[in-house]
Amino acid sequence: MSDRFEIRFGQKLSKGQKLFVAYIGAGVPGLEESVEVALELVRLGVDCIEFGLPFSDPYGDGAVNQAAAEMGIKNGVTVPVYFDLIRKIRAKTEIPLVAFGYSNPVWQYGLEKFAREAAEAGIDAVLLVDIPVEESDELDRACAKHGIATTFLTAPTTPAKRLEAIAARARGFVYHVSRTGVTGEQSSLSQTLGSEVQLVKSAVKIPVVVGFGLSTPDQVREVCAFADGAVVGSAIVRRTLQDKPTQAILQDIRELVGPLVEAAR
Amino acid sequence: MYVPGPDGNVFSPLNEPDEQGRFGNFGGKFAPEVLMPALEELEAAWRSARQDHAFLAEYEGLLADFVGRPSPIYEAKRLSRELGGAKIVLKREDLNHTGAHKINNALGQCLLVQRMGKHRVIAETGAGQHGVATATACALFDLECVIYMGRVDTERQAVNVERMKMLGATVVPVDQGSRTLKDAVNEAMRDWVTNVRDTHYVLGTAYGPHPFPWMVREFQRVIGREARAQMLAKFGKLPTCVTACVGGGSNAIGIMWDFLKDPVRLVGVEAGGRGITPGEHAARFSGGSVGIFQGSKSYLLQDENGQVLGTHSVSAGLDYASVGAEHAWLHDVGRVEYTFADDTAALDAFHRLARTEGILPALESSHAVAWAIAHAKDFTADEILLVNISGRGDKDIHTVMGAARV
Repeated sequence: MSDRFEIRFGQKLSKGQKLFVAYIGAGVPGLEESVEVALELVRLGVDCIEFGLPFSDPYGDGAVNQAAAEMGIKNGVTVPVYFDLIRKIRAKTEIPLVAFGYSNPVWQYGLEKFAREAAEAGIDAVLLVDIPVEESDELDRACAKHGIATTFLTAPTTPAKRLEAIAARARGFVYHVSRTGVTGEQSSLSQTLGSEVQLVKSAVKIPVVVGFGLSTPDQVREVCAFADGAVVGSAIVRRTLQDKPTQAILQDIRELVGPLVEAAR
Repeated sequence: MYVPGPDGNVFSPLNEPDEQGRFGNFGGKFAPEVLMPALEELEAAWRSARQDHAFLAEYEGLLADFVGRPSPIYEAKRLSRELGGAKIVLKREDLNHTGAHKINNALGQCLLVQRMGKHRVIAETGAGQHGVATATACALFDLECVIYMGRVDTERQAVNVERMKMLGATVVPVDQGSRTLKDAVNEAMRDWVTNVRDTHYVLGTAYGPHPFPWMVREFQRVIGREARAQMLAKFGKLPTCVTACVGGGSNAIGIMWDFLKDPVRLVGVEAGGRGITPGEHAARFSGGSVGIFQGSKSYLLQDENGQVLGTHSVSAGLDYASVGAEHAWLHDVGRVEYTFADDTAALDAFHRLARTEGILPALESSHAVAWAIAHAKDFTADEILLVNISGRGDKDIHTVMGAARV
């Protein structure tokens, strides 16, 4: 249901607040524990969770997210298990949930079946890193049939002509990648990020959030000055990968994410 | 066993993929958004270069004077006599400068890099032959060169690592995943995603997102174009059968393409490894199914959840989980037969060609030799079986010595 985007994102943005989106890996550090992490993020006030569906060869991701994908697979995350975890999260929250990953596990499961079961489980949108808008026809048809949004990345290299094509197909939000590169934390943001986001915002009518490399409240504030929101992934995922009791991991996440959510207000 | 095309006697190959970069259902551009403009730029540069006489003349000049083309065809008389059956003829890509067919593609792409005004080149390599070829082309054209190679492969192909360094390249060992070819491709993709504005990724085989499968095929077609003319000149007829090993598939598509319209049986030989059980081989057409991987839709070794399986082959260059899109199409339309040879057969073929003909074939090419050895008797003495010796085996001496000790 893309309505959850309109409700949650619409409410926040109409109050002049910005969005905070969190990415975590399914099945990290364990199956039930990843649900606990998600629900902790909900309690901390995040506006959307991108729940990573693991793939063995995530070449758009850095070392942290690759390690998380390996752990998720090792812990038994298959598509049906993934939907079980989503159902458990959905039972406790109405924020938008995004299935985030790579295409092969989805195609192997069957697009139509994936979209139907994703909708039943409570997924609002699908974003697959290796499905650019040119290759999105089948995915879009299957998702549209079951009321799920398909959304896309935009990049610093995306020219205006491609933005138009992405704008025509993206629903819910657009995720602008802050730099050319893979996921992972960085110390400073690109000088041209503001003007890039302006270009994306002029092309699309839905919220534009910015991610890749964000990990500090200052970076979130910097991004929220020109974008509709910020995405933080690797910094959270790194904490979920620690060899610590779940309660200690949740404590670390509270310390990290609390100030980040505040920064987006 | 030549299969006629749907429109009668002549098979219709695809001169180029469709607008989406597909060969039938295979291929495409399954790449992250950040790379899409670079793929468009590459396609435009390639389309313009292939119509440009000056570009083609420079490329062909390098193939002649730098690579030493045409590579000869050579009748393996002792081997043919020992086996009985087909007259076995070898296409000697092992005699190319740098020791394999890979240089044909590396030079072509590096010429394009100059044309696009980029200054940095990255590449993946498995056996090291593509890495050496790319490092060589970069030395020739004064380009910065970074080669990604799985840690396991840097160990089993140590000589090639040293060669690349001597040619001025930086070799980055990859410790992710299975630490072999697919992981080297992942790391090269990560580098490309990061440095896409000034860097070109010289993909080493007829795989990956469009336009790579098409462009690499065109750079490798020189093998089959030469071989076809050489067959007619030397023997006055075409071969009955052409065989080549298939990793990503560039040497195979290169030698086969100009025979697609002919009544010639075409056989691609994949790596059977230690046997066709998951994780023990790289025979995508025997143990794989259709999937999307590293930019392309093709046959893929994967589990029921769509996770990519580990592979094994004694030859690093065939040790890869997927296969070029055009091969997937040629498989499905039935024009090319795909089979496999296991590690033992490939090692036996290596020794046999060494002792009967004085030629050490690369362990990759040894898979095609193994098929020829096993099937020579299926042919009569006036039928020619053309085998592509895609590279030379000097790089494999340590692996072969290790296998002999086991």
